[in-house]
Amino acid sequence: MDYLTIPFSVDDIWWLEAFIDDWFFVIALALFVVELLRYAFKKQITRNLLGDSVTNFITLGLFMLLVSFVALAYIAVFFFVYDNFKLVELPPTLWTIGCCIILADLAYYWEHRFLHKNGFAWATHTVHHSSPHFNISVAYRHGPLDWLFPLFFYLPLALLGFHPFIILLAEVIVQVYQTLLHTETVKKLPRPIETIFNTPSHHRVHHARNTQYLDKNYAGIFIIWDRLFGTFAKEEEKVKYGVYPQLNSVNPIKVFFSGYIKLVQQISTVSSWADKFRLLYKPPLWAWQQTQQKKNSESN
Amino acid sequence: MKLAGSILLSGAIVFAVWGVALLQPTPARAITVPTTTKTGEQPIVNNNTVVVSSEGKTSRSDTKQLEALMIEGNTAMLATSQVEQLWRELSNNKQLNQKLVRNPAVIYVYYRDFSANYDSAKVTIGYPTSDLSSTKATTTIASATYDRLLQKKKYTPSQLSKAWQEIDYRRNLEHVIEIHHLSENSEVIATEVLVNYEEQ
Repeated sequence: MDYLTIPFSVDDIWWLEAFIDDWFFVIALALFVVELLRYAFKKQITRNLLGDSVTNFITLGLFMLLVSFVALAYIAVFFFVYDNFKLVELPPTLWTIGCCIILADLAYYWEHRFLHKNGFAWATHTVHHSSPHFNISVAYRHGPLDWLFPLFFYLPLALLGFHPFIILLAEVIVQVYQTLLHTETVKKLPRPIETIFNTPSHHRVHHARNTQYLDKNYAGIFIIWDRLFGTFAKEEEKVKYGVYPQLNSVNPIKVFFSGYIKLVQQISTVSSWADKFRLLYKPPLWAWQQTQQKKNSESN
Repeated sequence: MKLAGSILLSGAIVFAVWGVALLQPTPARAITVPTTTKTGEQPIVNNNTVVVSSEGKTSRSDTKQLEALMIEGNTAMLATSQVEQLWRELSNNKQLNQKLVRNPAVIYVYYRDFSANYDSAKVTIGYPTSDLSSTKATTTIASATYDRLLQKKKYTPSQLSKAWQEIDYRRNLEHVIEIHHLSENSEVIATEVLVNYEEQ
C-alpha cells in the first residue's frame, strides 16, 4: 500500500498528463485503422463514412486551434483558484490521483448532462453527436466551445485542494477512456464490467436518436452514476446514430459551426425576447417542441 | 431519481471521496526530490593555496548558535560536487526511511573533514534522530556558533551553489551545514546554510 502514498513531483504529473495526451492519439489512430479494416472486410465502407471521418479530424484541428488560444488562461484559472481559495492541500500521491479521477468522472457526468440540457451548451456538443456513424474518429468530432464548459465543473476540485496538474491528468484519463468507447467493434463486455463501467454498448446508446435512448448514459468511466441518478438505458433495440433532424453534411466548417448556426437561426425566428432567452438555457428538446408546435399551427 | 436528489447525492459522494483523500495514510517518508546544492563551483585551489573567487570574506555577519544535534542518514567521503548521489542514496535508504515516525520537517547536510583543496569532504545527509523510532549509526553535529551564509528562505540550486563561493576559504573551514526545511509533502520549502571556521 505504500506506493499509494509516495508523493510525486508535480512535474512528474504534468509529464504523465502530456505523455498520455500525446501518445494516446497515436494509439487511437491505430485503432481507427483497425476499425476501417473491419468496415472494409464487412463491405461497409462508404464515401460518406470516409468523408465523415476526415471531417471529424478536421473539426479536431479547428478545436485545437481554438484551444491553443485559451489553454494558458484555462490552466491559469485553476492555479488562481488553487493558490488563493483551496480549502486544504492534498499531497500529489497515487491515492489523491485515484480520488481525483473518481470526482473528475462525477464532474464529467454532470458536465455532460448539462451539455444535453442547456441550449447554449448543446449548440457546441451537438457537433459531436451529429455524425451518423460511430467509430473512434467520432470521439474527435468537436464543437467550438467544447473547451469552455468543463472548466466550471472541474474547477471545484481545485477548491477541494487537488493540484491543477492532478485535475488535468484526471480530466485526460476520463477523456481517453471516453474516446475508447466510440466503437461498434466491441459488442458487450462481461456483466460485472457492464454493471460498473461505461462500455461501448452503453455509449452507443448515448449516441442514439432512438426515442427510448434519448438523454441517457452520460457517464465517463463509471456507468454507476447513470444507474444512481436514473439516466441509464441498456442497449436493446438497434441504435440509429446522429441527431434529429440529421445534419447530412461532411463539410467540416458547416459541421463545426452547425450547432451555433442553428441556435442563431432559432433565436432569430422567435419573436418574443423571453423565448429567445429560453432557447439559450432550455433543453434542446424544448426548442424542438416549439418548432413542432409552430409547424402544426401553421399547417392548421 | 429527481434532479435535486441526484445533486444532493452527488454532493454526498463528493464529500465522501474528498474525505477518503484527506484521510489517506501519510507514512513518514523521506524527501524524494533532492534540490541540492553544491555543484562543482568550488574555489580554485593550487598547491594547497586557496584562491578565493571573490574579494574578502562573506558579507553576512550574523551568527547562529547550534546545540549539539544527532542525525542519522547516509555518509560518504566524496567530491562535494557529487552530493546529489548521496541524496539519492538517502531517498533509497529503505531501512532508514521506514524508521521515520513522522514526516521529517528538516533534513541536514553536514560537511566536515574537508580535503586540502576543499573539493571533497565527509558528508552526511540525514534526519534528526528525534524523527526516528530507533537509531543505529548516528552523527553528531558539533555544538558551535555558526556564521549564517544563507538565511532561511527558498533558494534556487544556482543560488545555493553561489553561496558556497562566498565561504571565506582563507580561514580554516571546519563545518558547513545545510538545513533543508520540508513541507508536509516532503518538498524543500526553505534552506539555510551555516558555516563554521576553525578557531585560529
